[in-house]
Amino acid sequence: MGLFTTINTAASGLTAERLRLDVISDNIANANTTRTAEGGPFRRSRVIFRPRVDQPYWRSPFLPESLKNKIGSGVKVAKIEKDMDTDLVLKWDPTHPDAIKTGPKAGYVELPNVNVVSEMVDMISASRAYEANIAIMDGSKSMFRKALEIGR
Amino acid sequence: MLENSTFGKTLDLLQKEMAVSTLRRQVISNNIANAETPNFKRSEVSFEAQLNRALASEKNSGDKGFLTNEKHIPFNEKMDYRKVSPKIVLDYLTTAKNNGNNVDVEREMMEATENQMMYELMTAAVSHQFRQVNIVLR
Amino acid sequence: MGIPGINNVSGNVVEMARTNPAHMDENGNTGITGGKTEKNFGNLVTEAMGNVSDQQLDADALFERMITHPDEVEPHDVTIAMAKAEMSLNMTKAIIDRAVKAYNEIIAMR
Repeated sequence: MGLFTTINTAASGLTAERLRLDVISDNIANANTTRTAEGGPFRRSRVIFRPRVDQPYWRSPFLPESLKNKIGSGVKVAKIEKDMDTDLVLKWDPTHPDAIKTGPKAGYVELPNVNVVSEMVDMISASRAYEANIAIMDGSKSMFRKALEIGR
Repeated sequence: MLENSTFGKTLDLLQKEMAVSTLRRQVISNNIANAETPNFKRSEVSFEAQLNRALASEKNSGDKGFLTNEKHIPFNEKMDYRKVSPKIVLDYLTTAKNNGNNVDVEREMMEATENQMMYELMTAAVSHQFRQVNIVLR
Repeated sequence: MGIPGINNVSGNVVEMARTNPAHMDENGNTGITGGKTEKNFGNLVTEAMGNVSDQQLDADALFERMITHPDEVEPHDVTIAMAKAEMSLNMTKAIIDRAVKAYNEIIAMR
């Protein structure tokens, strides 16, 4: 039933946004971690979203049947990767146990590249998307119930 | 029974529109789920305008164009509203955010609410159709 | 006048001859008409009963489809089919009731 497909799609959105929220909260919790198990300071993670039906979307509405745009079925998290693109923050503190001892950056402590403000903005957009998906599910349930009342 | 009467035609129209409404909800739900996916472009369903054209062509009083060759494009032809089917169209013209995604969640929510309200109104219309006949048959 | 294709002339009005029965004559009627079936009393009841089974079978087939291929069936399709079957059953019951009543009335006239 089409409504079940709708609910599945919305559920995939919920899962993806929840995962994103987890990653964000991990980033925020580790915003000052200077030492990790693999050495070096904590680097922020980010999630990569992909549509579940990852196909080329054709622009023209006039297409042969086999090339028609399929209805997408939601979103999936392709991977969770460490953000190597933004630079780490350097802070001058030679007395810190994790300060760099030698080299041009001697005396500086490398802090994680987590910007708490942008993480909070991401968190707000993730929870807004979460609520939108919930609203879709509620609407679909209500539509189904109304369809059942047709013959009554 | 009653297929060729207004009862049958109205019922058929309502049923078609409800099917399209369900399809539209799937597309909207996909748009919302992918609201944060980079480079995703939203889609929409187009059906009502084509259906309107088909229904208006039935009231057309002109005669069908006479074709001298079967490969010529016909004009003034009455379109059968039963042959109209919904099309999923990619919307690549609206402005995209920085990550290439052009989904506006508020707008999708508005469309979803509209969609739900139309569907529920149509179930009321269909119930009304059946009730009319059943009252007479009581 | 010996002009072929012209049948009657009255004043400046000429009746057109049709080379093909599908062409319209001056009143807009074509020569092709739908076949007319004879309707009599017995046919009415039999036809009504036949239609009812069609609707019931449709509804049953839809139920089966709903169970085996839930992805292809919509909830409103199912409820509409149910309502159609119910309505045509109502209609058949009404027709049969009236028909039997009319028959009884006619027989009772003796």
